[in-house]
Amino acid sequence: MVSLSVGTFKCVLMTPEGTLLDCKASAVTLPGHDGSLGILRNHAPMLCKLGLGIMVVRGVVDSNDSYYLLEGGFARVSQNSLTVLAYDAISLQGMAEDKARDTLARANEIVVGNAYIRRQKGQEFSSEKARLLVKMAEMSGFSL
Amino acid sequence: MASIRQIKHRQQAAENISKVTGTMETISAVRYRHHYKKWVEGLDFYDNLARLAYLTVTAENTIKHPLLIANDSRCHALLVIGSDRGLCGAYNSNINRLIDVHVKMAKRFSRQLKVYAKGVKAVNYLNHRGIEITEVYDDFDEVPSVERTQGIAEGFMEQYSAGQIGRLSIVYTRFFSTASQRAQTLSILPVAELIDDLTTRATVIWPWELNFEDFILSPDENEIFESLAGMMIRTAITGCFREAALSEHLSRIIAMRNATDNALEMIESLGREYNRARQGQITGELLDIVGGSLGN
Repeated sequence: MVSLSVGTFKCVLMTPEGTLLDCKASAVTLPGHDGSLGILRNHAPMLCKLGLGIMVVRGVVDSNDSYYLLEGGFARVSQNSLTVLAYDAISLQGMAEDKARDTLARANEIVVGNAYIRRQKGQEFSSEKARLLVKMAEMSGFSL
Repeated sequence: MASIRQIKHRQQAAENISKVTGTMETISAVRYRHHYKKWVEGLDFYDNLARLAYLTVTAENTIKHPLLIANDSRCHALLVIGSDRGLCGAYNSNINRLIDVHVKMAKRFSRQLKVYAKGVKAVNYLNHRGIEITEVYDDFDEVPSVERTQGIAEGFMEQYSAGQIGRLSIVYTRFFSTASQRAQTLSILPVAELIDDLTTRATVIWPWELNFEDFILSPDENEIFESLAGMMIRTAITGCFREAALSEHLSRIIAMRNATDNALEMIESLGREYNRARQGQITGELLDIVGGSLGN
């Protein structure tokens, strides 16, 4: 059984703004509507609603693991192909370094609860989204 | 015949106009390229969304959802997307003609029309016709953000589910390709009509390799459909605003290019007229000198 799930499968992440990821991966963790969801090779066909959370793509050929903060959408798995349709996806790795640092700094401000700054700048992220963004930065080894 | 000074003034005015129209063309070209890139990059998303929509509507156990079924409200919502600025050819007049069609249809079938508008030109036309506008979307420029689209879509879905509106249509200029754009009405609610449009515009090959029943569903089919319908409506609304912006900028590029070409043509012909008038004046002065010297 284990040998069946060893190997890679096609993984595509799309938003209305464009395709953010199109690669072969060996394992993907998705934020399902009711908890985390692991996808390996030869997964049964599945249609799943996504919630707010971090998508982790592991074992990408010639690349490091990728992390994306997703906010709702759908995942379709069929015939060793995973297609994720998300409303919105944030990846610190895909951003310019200055912008990524700025985004993370603002997320940190929201997480630590600096009410004054929040009031001054307007709340860009929900507190849950900000918390997940900080967590994603830690997971991907990104620091301020 | 106009004097040399008058001709020079006209030439200067034509040069100024050509500079303004040339700049407007450049600005629209930059914006067009920006929107076109986003539009092309979003096409795969539309195709995959169409696949999911096709899958859900071909399920053996027919999904019965309020957004999928027509309700008996006599009130129709109409979202009109026009432009904020003019000088874009027949772009706004085509939209205005469609508004007239909807107003006549509503009158003919005794339906109430709830109009939502985006763009100064559309708002001005609706005011001119004395049509009441329920809401004007003036808080964003051209294409709404993800959060704003969600707000707009949820508002319409709530009204439809509550039976306050029986249909939602968007009047906008659809961008088929660089060579083809047309003002048209896209029906968003009931969602069955939107699915029809999505599946017919998609470039994927039908039928698909698996049936709806082959998939493990999480959560159940009704909840999946509800979320999918929300996603389709949000994507369609964003798509309409994007295509309208694309078509507007392309119309303006063409209109301004024609205006610049005409101005350059006018400058050239005024240049010829100026030279002719100047030559005539010099000849006249020479004749006066020669005539004067002969007289002496």
